[in-house]
This record gives sequence, structure tokens and C-alpha cells, in this order.
Amino acid sequence: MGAAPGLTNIMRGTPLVTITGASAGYHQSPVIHDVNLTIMRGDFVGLVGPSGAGKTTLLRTILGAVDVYAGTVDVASSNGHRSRAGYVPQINSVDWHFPVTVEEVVMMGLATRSGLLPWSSSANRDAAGEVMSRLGISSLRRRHIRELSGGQQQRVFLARALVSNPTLLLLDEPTAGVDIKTRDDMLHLLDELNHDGITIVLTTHELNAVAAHLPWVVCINGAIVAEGAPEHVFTPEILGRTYNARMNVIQHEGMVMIAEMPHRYGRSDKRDDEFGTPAGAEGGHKHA
Amino acid sequence: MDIVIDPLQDAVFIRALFDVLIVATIAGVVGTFIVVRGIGFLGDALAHSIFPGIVIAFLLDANLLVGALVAGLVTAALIALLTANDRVRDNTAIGVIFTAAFALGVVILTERAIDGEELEHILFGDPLGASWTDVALTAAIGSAVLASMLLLKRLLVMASFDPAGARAMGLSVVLLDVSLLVITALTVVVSFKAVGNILVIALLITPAATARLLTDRLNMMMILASGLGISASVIGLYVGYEQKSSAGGAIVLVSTLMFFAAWLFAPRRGIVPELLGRRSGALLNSEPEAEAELILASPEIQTPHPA
Repeated sequence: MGAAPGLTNIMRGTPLVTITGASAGYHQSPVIHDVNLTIMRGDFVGLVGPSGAGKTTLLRTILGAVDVYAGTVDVASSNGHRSRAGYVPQINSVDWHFPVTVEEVVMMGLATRSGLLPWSSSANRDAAGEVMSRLGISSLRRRHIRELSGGQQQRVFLARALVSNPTLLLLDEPTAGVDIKTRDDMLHLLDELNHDGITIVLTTHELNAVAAHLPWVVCINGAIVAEGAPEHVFTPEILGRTYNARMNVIQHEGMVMIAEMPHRYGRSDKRDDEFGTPAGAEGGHKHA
Repeated sequence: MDIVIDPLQDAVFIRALFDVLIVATIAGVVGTFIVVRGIGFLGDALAHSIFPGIVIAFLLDANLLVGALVAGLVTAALIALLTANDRVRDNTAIGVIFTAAFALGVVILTERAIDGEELEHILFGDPLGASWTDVALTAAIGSAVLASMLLLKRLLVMASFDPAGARAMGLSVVLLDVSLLVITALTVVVSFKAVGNILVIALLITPAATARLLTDRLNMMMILASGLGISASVIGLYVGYEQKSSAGGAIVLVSTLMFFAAWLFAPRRGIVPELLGRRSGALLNSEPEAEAELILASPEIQTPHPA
């Protein structure tokens, strides 16, 4: 599993979250069933599974933000206090027209610790400034959140989660809707945070990114299907049970890739003469 | 100058001025949240729901504000009860309760033939009829509303902007929603004397909607909404006093004029600056939609498969 030098030797490798036989969901309807999962301190875990498989519900179960109908969810304490969790929501669950600036969003991470005064203390402003500086978004602090790129928006919500100095960071699809470079930057940043001692659990649909970057993966489809290192878990059999679909896995020189069988939808005969021909060469584009 | 100074020597006008200044200030702050949350329908429903309380208070010769207060709080509690656990959707519950409450008011009203002028004051407001007791009650409830908003502002912002994140942080979004509901009900109650049962929603929404066109900052939006509401109220009050017409109606009309002025001329969101910007070929702002629009409009970027 992912190393976490920020943790003391005594703490590293001890359970942070222990879920035993848990069923949880909303309005008396369980979404996840009989989940048994242990997240160790310093882990860097990816949750994968199809849409509606319960990835977000599992994150919220850890946070204590959904109804648990059976089993137990235990989050270990740190220094005598319940471990603090930072949460980065799915980016589309946020009201992007709400009139708030980057700095105001980051300060929201301290909303429950700021008392009832309508203004922010200088200590809180300093904490927000520090985390924005670390994530490279200080220059955007006065911007409206809608004016940012997808990657910048993700960093803002990451900053909001980090400003409360959490032990555990839970991210719901932090790589959704961004390009490959931004995705890799985000995963690199999370890796740095993990090395600083923060335990990280994220959900994603990007299996290849998980296979390339994350040390531990949990496959879920209502219940836990399998967990382990990607090279052990990403097999056609396990992925088939997770996604209820045929998945092709290529393992080559330590790399694990989930490949798609080529299918050519639509009328391929119409464009056969165009494929593979460089622009400008004879027989190139023949549009009228 | 006489038009401005003379009314200030009339105690009736002074009382009305105090009343509308308090109401406009509170309505601007609370209205800002109603507009950014997109729950104008809720405010409208609460405004209509206080109608039976006002009618019953009128028939009992009690203070109308007290009747409105009781009806507003009962309505807020009923809506919260119906929508708990999502058995009934918010808008459905609001639709059921507010029409029932208004119908109750109409039934009581038609059973006891109420004087036409009194009915007009209930429906369209009568700030010039405010007593010092009304002003004191408005100030007391208004202070409580303003204090609650300032204390809860940070949490209300979090719950409005990102409910899932707020729940994850351990905040009770339901409790915060109920708080906003009660605060809105109280604001409607203190506002109805100024602009009436039918028009009260305008004082809540229109200045805040105007402010939204002018700024992207929540604090500034609250300040602007209150300022615009105060300006519209003072102008409307003078118009009503001088013309011997409905001051409540005049306040709403002035406020609406301000909204359309902002809709046309607001620097970033107004229609006219946008048209002028397009004509000069400038990129309107850094918003992605504007950039996409420019790219699509560029003749040098051609579609790969021209027809």
C-alpha cells in the first residue's frame, strides 16, 4: 500500500476506518450491502465500479452522512479526538452560479469551526491563504468559481477539504471531466498529500489511471467484489463481476491496461477511404 | 424642495418612513438568499399563507402583524413537516399549503363582509397607516431576523452552495433549511404592512434580483439589495404620499424599474453592454461560454465536413 512518511511508525499500518457488515443508503433503501472494509492509516485507495454501484454512498458512509441500517462503521480517533475527514464532492453537485469567490469556498472548510461570527478570524484567513498557496491557486482567490477551469475548480475544493487539516481525505470523482494532464497533476498532488500522512480514498471511473497510479483498489457493485493491488484485482473475471460486462485486461512489463475491443459503430463503408491517410497526401480528404 | 421636506413634518409619513426603511433592509438581506437559492416560489407561498392570519386578526380587532406572525410560523412548520423525509416534494407541499391557507382567508373574508378599503390595505399595503406599535414590532422582529441571518450566514452559505459537502461536514442541512424558512416567514410578516399581502414578495425578490445582475459577491449583493430596496421604498413612499395613491404599489413599481434598468445596463450582465461588446468584437469576459461563443463565431475555424 502507499507509503506515508508523515505518519509515525506506531500509527502507520493501523486501521483508520473499519466497516463491518454495513448496509447503508437513503430513505430506508440500502444502496450498499454487507460491506466489510478496512482502510489503514496512510492508505491511498481507489473505489471503482459502475454508476449506481454505491461508490459515493460508501464515501458518505465513512463520513457518517447517510443512514446505516446494519453493521458498524468505526473511524479511529487521532490524539484523543475523532479523526477529521475532508470531503471533495462531485463537481457537478455544486451550484456554480452561487455568488462566491475562490477564497470564500476555501473558507467554507472552516465553517463549523468558525463560531457564529459572520466574519473570519485572521487565523482562519491565514490557514486558507496557506493551503491556497500550496495548491497554487493564491492568484485566483478573488475570482468567481465559475471563471475557473475544471482543474482549478478541483483544486479549490481540494483546498477546502485540506484547510481543516484532515487525517482522512475522501474525494468523489476528482478526475472527472478534466484532460489527461490535469488528471495526472491531480493524482500527483494527491500522492504528495498521501506522503505527508493523509489517508486518501477516492472514487473514479478511470480504471487505467487507477492501475497506473494507485497502490490499492476496491471494486464495488452494491457489495465489495474484490480489493487489492491493481495488478491482482484488475482481471477480466473480477472486472466482469464488478461491471457486469466483458472487460479485456492487458498486462505487459508491470503495466495493467483495461482495453476496449474495437467496434466500429455506424456505416464504416462511407469513410473507409479516409482512414490512415495523412492530410495533403493523394487520396486524402475528398469532401466537396 | 417642499415635496421632499414637507412630508417629513407629518408624523404619519415619518412612521411610514421608519417602517419601510427597516423592512427594505431586512428584505434585501433575506431576499438575497431567496434569489441565490432559487426559492422565490417559497417566499410567494409564505406571503399568501399569512393571509388568513391577517384576516382573523382583523376580525378579532387584534394587531395584524401578530396574526400574520402566527399564520407565517404555522405555515413554515407545516411545510417543514410535510417535506421531512422527502415523502412530499418541496414545491408540492408549498403548493398545497399556500393555496389552502389563502382559500381559508378568502372563505373567512367572504363570510364576514370586510370593508373594501381595509381589504385593499391588507392586499396591497398601507405603510402610511403604520402605528408606532407597528413600527416597534417591525423593528423588534426585524432585529431578530437580521441577527439570525448574520449568525447563520456562514452555515447557510455552505448549505446553499454545496448541500452534499455541508452534510459531509456534519451540518444539518434540514435544520438550516427550516431556519431559512422561518426567517423568510418572519420577513414576509414584517413586510406585509409596507407593501401588502400580494406585493410583499416583490420587496423580497426584486431588489435582490437587481443586485444579482450587478455583482458576483454575496456580501455586496446583500448590501446592494438592501440599498436598492431602501431607495425604492423611499421614492415609492413619496410618490404614494404626494399622489394619494397606493404607496405599496409605488414601491414595487419603482423597484421593478430599477430591475429593468439593471437588466439593460448592468456592466457585466446587462443587455446593452453585451450588445456593444459584441459589436466591437471584444471578448465579453473570461467566462468559458463567451469563449466558446467566439470560437464558434470565428469564420477561420471551419467545420471538417462542410455541406
